[in-house]
Amino acid sequence: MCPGGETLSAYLDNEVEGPWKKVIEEHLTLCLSCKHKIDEMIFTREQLALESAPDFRASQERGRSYLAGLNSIEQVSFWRRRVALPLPAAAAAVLLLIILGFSTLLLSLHTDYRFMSIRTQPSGSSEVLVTAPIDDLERILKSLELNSSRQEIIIQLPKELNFFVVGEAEMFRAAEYKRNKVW
Amino acid sequence: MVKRISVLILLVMAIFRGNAQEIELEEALRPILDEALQLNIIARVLPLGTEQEWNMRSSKLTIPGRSIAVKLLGENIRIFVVLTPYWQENGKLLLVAQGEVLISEMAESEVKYLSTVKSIPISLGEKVLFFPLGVSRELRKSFNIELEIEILSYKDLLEKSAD
Repeated sequence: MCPGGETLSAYLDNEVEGPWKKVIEEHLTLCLSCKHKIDEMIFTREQLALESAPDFRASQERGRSYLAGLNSIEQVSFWRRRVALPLPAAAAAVLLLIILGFSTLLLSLHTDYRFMSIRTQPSGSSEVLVTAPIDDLERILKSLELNSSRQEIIIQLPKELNFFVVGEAEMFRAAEYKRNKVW
Repeated sequence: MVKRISVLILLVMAIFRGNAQEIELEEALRPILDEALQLNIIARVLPLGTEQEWNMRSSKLTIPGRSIAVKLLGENIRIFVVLTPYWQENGKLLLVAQGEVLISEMAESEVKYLSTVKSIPISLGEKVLFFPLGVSRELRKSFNIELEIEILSYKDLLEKSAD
């Protein structure tokens, strides 16, 4: 009875020991078929031994690069992260920013449109600067009864009285005047 | 990065700007109202040497540096008095009175024009007397005109009325 292929392969690999190895050796001297199989196995191994080992370095390099790329994606900071946007959406966002920017600029140019400040001069006098729409100014003037550039009080003196200039105009504190009053 | 933050800040400022302007205006008005002054003016016609015979009271609000004009119109006389209060460095008021008088002392005679400027430092609530026709102790038979001026703080008056 002939040994199987696995047994012949084990024999070839020197994995069969003891009396079985001797039995197989005797069988191979007698059985041409098994002898032929073992020769084929030897031939195949010799051919494989002649072939050079494949070069895996290129594929290893590609693998390393891919892994390095994965690591670099994880290390990108929040502010450097890129977001892909559809072109129309990006264009609309840029347009909106431009409009808002111009609006803000126009508003900033009108900063002092309703500005009012009171500055005290070194001499003690006050300088009042007012910049406001007319309706607001009107409100201020009404509240202060300043509808005209100069407020005016008109007093009608008693009729049929004739007045005379008796001297130069004078101004006194009321208390001091009463003390000096002689009549 | 800084640009993005700046744009955001500008946008937020633009949004809140509308409300801020209303508040700014109210706040800006407050110093003016705090500085507002009330001038109480009493015009008297005095027969010299006797008690007052006629008077007229009036009050006006103003701010320091803004004048109030008083016109006194009579049969033979036109008096224009311009009263301007100013704050001085020492915290006192300076009242400047500019008087102009057009008077015809005799019937169908020429008209006299007199002009004068007087100033006096006063405190709030202190009364001042202005005599546009002058003061004489000799002429006792004619009438004289006296303006009594009192300046009060409008803010104090508001607080008193609120109390």
